[in-house]
Amino acid sequence: MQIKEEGLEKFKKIIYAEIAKLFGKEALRLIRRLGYNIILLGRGNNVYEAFLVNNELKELLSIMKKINIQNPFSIGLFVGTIIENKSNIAFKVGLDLMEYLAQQLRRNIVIVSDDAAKLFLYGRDILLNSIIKILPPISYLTVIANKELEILGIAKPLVNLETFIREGRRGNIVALKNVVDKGWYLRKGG
Amino acid sequence: MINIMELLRSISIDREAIELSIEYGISPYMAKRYIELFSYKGAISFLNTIRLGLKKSIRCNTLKISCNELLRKIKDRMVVKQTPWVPYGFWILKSKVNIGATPEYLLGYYYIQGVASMLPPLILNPKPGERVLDMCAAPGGKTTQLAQIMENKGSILALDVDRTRMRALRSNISRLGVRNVVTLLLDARKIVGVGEKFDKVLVDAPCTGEGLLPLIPERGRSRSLYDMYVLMKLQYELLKSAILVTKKGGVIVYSTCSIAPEENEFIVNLILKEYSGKIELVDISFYGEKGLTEIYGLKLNSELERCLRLYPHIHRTEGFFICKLRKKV
Repeated sequence: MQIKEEGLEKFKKIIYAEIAKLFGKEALRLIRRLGYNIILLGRGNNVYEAFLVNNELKELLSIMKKINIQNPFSIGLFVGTIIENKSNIAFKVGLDLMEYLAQQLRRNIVIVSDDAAKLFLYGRDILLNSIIKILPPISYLTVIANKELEILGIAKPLVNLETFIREGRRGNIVALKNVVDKGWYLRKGG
Repeated sequence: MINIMELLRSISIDREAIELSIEYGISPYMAKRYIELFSYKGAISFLNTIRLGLKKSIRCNTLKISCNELLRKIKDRMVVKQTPWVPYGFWILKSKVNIGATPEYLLGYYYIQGVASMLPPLILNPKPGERVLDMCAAPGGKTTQLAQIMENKGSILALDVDRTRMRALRSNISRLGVRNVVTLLLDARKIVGVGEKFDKVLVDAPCTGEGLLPLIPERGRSRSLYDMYVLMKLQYELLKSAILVTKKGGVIVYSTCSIAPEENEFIVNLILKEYSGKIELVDISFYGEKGLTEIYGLKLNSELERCLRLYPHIHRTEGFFICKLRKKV
């Protein structure tokens, strides 16, 4: 993996815009306050992985650059994956960043029952009936947590959760589709 | 190094060694060396641990949870006992579940790690804000422990040469919430060009794994004397590289999960000779045995007794060797 420097600003803009969509501008202020920078690592075929790094890690990278070693496997906090093709640039946010921001900002979180939490870790979706509480605003991707606010993964809401919860609607319909859960560490994580 | 090989080859395999090798399913050369190391009775006691196995243990990941909170969460499913020397290390005395598949494991609240292997990071003792090098990092037990000790502050450069194990390292970094690590697929011997840049360096060197016999008994047959020779060269070169990239006044911890003096005291002895006046051994005041200063009729540097040895049959941990060196200012 090579560090991508050319055109980095364009990608950064997209990443920051997505982060703001998911957790609001407060998330960007938090990242700035912590002194984090975005670094992109190329994975071939116009696919890049984005990471948040602090100044100490940046310094370490510049030391490595001196001996012409610039191909880290990973660095700092994983942000997500960028896929660039001719017509557009797509950004897929990673679990590490979602967990970090949800914990720091306590928003965009759906809290689910114990049974649903267990099943979610096995890759299952979330039923409307299993939702105990939401910490709004809920975005197009949201973080799933158990009653103790432990982050279990990311899901995609299939209904307008805020309206459904406000109106007290219940039912055994699938309300959130599992995108990634921490069972991944067992299934594929190595 | 060549002389050491000749010395090892010259150790004659006698009847006692052959009998032990058959009984415990290990190579005769290993049996003979264990008799040299422990006496016949001690060798039997050591080899019996192959049949008994070892207790599993976990390291509570304080980056994500307090140990009290973790114990509260797992108390219905596991009976644990705190280890005497690692405040966040726990032996699993009983478990109703697979400890590698609990929600707490997936949430990164603990790492399954041998108690002895928790010691090298603890002995290196990096401070938050320091720059640390972990030369043979994958799958990341010690790297993530270093990050835990450093409270996710400062930076760790984690190197390894195995791409598959590197994926495991990255996965563990993610699961355990570590944010101050750069992982790099690189032979650690190639890093010397950076100069004296690191405050602390961990060399948990690849080894024959003779200390892991109670956990992986196959190692008793799968490793040859030649493997050991190849590993000794690598260990020596790694430790040499570590010295070159450590700042003056900086600290290096050299460790292996082997009880073989050839991979431990012999390597450090060579380094002490080569860097005489430039590095010193630092006392490790921990539970365990002192490093060897005489073995196979060879006298080694007397300072080596400052190193630490752990044995499965005495300390109920994996067999381990740890040495702490300081680069003089």
